[in-house]
Amino acid sequence: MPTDSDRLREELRVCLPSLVLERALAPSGQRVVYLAHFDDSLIPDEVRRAEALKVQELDIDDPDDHPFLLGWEAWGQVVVKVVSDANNDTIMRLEAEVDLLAALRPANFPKLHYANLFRNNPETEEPLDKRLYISIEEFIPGDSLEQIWLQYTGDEQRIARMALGIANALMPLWVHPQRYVHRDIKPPNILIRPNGDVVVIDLGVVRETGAKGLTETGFVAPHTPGFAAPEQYKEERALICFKADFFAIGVVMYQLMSGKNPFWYDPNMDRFDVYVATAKHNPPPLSACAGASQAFSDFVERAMRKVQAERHRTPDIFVSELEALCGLSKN
Amino acid sequence: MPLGLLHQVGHNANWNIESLQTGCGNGLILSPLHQALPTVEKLSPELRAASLFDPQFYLPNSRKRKLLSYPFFPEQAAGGFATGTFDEHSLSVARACVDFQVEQGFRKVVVPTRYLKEMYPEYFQMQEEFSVNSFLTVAGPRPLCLSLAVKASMIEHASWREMLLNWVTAFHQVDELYLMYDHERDTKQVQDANFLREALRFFRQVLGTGLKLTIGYTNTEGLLFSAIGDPNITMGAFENTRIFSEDKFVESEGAVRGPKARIYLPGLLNWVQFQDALQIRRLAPEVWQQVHMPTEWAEQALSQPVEPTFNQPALYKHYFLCMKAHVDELRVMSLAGRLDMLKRRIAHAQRMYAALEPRVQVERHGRGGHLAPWAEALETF
Repeated sequence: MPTDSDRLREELRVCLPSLVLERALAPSGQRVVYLAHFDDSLIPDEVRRAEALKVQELDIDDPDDHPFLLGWEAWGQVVVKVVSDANNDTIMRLEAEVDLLAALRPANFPKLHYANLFRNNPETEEPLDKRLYISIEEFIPGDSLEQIWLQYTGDEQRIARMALGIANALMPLWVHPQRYVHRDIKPPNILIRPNGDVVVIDLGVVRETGAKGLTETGFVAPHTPGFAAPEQYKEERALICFKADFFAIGVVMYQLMSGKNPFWYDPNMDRFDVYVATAKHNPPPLSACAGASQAFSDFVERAMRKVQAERHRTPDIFVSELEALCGLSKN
Repeated sequence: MPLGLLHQVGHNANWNIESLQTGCGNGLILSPLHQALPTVEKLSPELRAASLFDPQFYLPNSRKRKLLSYPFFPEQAAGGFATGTFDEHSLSVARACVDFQVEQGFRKVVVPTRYLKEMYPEYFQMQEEFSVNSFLTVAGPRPLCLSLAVKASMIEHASWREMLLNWVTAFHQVDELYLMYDHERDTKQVQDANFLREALRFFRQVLGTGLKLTIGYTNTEGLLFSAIGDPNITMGAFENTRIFSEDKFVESEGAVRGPKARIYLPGLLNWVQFQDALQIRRLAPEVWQQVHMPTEWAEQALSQPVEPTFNQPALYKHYFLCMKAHVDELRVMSLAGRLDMLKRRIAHAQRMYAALEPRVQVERHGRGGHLAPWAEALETF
């Protein structure tokens, strides 16, 4: 797994000379993540000259024909994600997911500005130690749910609306013919825009239902203890479907309502304890421990069932029950 | 068919096209990775008739936008390529792809295959199930060109080479093989005598079966293959048209910092960095005279006050003219004459490098490390 290091930062500078890294952010999936911006004044002269020529000869039939670095300063703050040594199939899958989401729900996912694979150091033309796949995404102003979750504590309506926002954002994945699953819904991956809209980040862990995990491509299959569903801990690839995301949304709702993670309820627990709790422990109903309405409590309890078949059967049912909790039901 | 020289089209396809239109080269190998559908359709009928259209299914789940502009590209046609479900789409993909190639009037219909990096026991069955069976089914009796990208090791191992040979000759409609090899290395030129020797042997065997042979993605080592017969060899502008790698279907060469400018010096059988070439011209003028071939394009680049950038055409068009000169010289010779000429060219280049050594320090890729392995391969194949 790559880590933030002086060497990686130098390789990024060589690949993208006008990139100014501001600070490292929390790793995402198996990627190093930075907050950054571009400074056009740092573009080397030879790049500026080459790109100026390109601008004169842009091919209108060429969807990839955009100047490199020139004008990228206007993107403002960006999120830079770096994967090292991913194989090409993994990269293609990441790109397919991003394309899909950008097409279907642009408001709910960060815009992808740029992505490319770098094999060589552009200054020396020697191979990089490891191939780097670098993506540049829109920086979404707003707070992650992890930062502001206390504002939600005990507020059923607000929690239900936020959960509905997550579900609506993920719906195109769940109903896609290839049955994508996010697999890592948790408060740090949920951003709340200033207007309250929900944005889901960290799409790099999305995969097709039943598809091979990323372990075989050099990654550890990603999941977050305390939010992952029981089937994610097992090597039951075919069983990981949209219901794993239902489970995680249920956990988020439970945590916001009660103030405690239902499976990581004791700070002395280790990861193994959390796995066991996820598989065996039935947390007390929210109606009993957090004063939730029976409907809210039942919804969350069902979403977090250990057996997938007992969770909400379809994404449509899941969303319509959430709408009912929000008072948006047509019935 | 005489020894041929085709343009391996890549980024900025116009450079190849303009060069061909001035009589440099015998045709194009079009690249949907670099040419969106409307661009190919706008080519003149004459250009299309002189071209092979390589559907480039090598990485069938590639998301490169221009590839996706072709409705028959697997990722597009299948709504997201997956090996397990592609058989549902294979026939319709083949029909659309063959129809496109026939309607556009390309020189021959190319049957695409997938680039499989592993030497699976089911390699040939996988290729047939992926595309070959469907294309043969829908193509009818017309002659076909089978495209195949192989690992260098498949050519190096005699048993694999034999299996490859048996497989590519198993289809009566296929009369041409368009073959490219993925030879992993950290040098720009092939410096692997063993690989080159085995490749020469393999290509001689292929031509011996009566198949026509087009060897794709060759750098200047392509010239060596003239020693075994009359294949088509290729020349390309950017490096990823001179070295085959699956990565080209992931990378976006228009969206990176371009490589340093290099100029091809035919007397060295190599590209050297432009700054090094200026040093050679200044510090070793008698060597320069013997290694540089003046062309309109080279002189234009050399007379500029600033170093050319990677996306200016002059140095690539110069290379095309140099390759044409090499091939024109070789084409009229017997095989023995070509072999002798190649050996003499290599020996001359070695002498030129030796003469440079005390005066000009050439950057690593511009040095003569390729020459001894080339000479060895030609001695031993």
